[in-house]
Amino acid sequence: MPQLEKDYIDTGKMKYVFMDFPLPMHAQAMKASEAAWCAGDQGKFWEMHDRLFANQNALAPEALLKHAEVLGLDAAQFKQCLDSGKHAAQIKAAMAEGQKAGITGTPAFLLGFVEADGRVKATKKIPGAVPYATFKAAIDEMLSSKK
Amino acid sequence: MKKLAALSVFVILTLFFTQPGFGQTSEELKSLREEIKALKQGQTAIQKDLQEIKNLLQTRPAQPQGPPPFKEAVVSIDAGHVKGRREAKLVMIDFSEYQ
Repeated sequence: MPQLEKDYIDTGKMKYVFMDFPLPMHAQAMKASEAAWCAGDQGKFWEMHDRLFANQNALAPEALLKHAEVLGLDAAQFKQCLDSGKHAAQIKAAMAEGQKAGITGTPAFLLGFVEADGRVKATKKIPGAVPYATFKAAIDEMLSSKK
Repeated sequence: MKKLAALSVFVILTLFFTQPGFGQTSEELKSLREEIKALKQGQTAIQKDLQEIKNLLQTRPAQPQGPPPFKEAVVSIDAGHVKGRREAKLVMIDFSEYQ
């Protein structure tokens, strides 16, 4: 991911969109997704996102509060956001989009171009856990097809 | 020499007296033949069925294995978080979770 960011996202060749897909069999995944959204309310979505990925074994409710504290978030506001489940609908909407596209497991990547209405017409699917070279080949093929 | 002759007589007599047994054996042979005939008929029927199954399998189109390959999907990214420059038209969508 850091290499992708450097080669394609920072250079303006590609946008990256994170869509939550918390699988029901992972009991803590939903609240972890909500935690990132709640941090986003305070302008720190990506900071929480990176922190959660780096600490995948620390996702219990008290661990989430601790992450918020470390990131310097307003603790009361964060806790209230998490407890209310105010972002659950958005996360479920993201999941529903994935399911419509045939996604069943995580991680899974789609590549496509933005349409006039802002939606993305994906024409390539990359299953998760593949080497960087596989991503690079798929992205380069997409970029050259558009020229 | 005398002993041998006596033994021969005994053997002949034994063979002679078991003669009625041959009658019984021919009865058995008859029913065996009928049984074999029935078995052959059954085999012919099975072979016919097999050929029919073979023909069916050959005419049926090959079934694709597993889920169909991904072709395309139009995805709304309203519920996603975006990184990158506005002008980039190519988008990578990452469906993922933290656990």
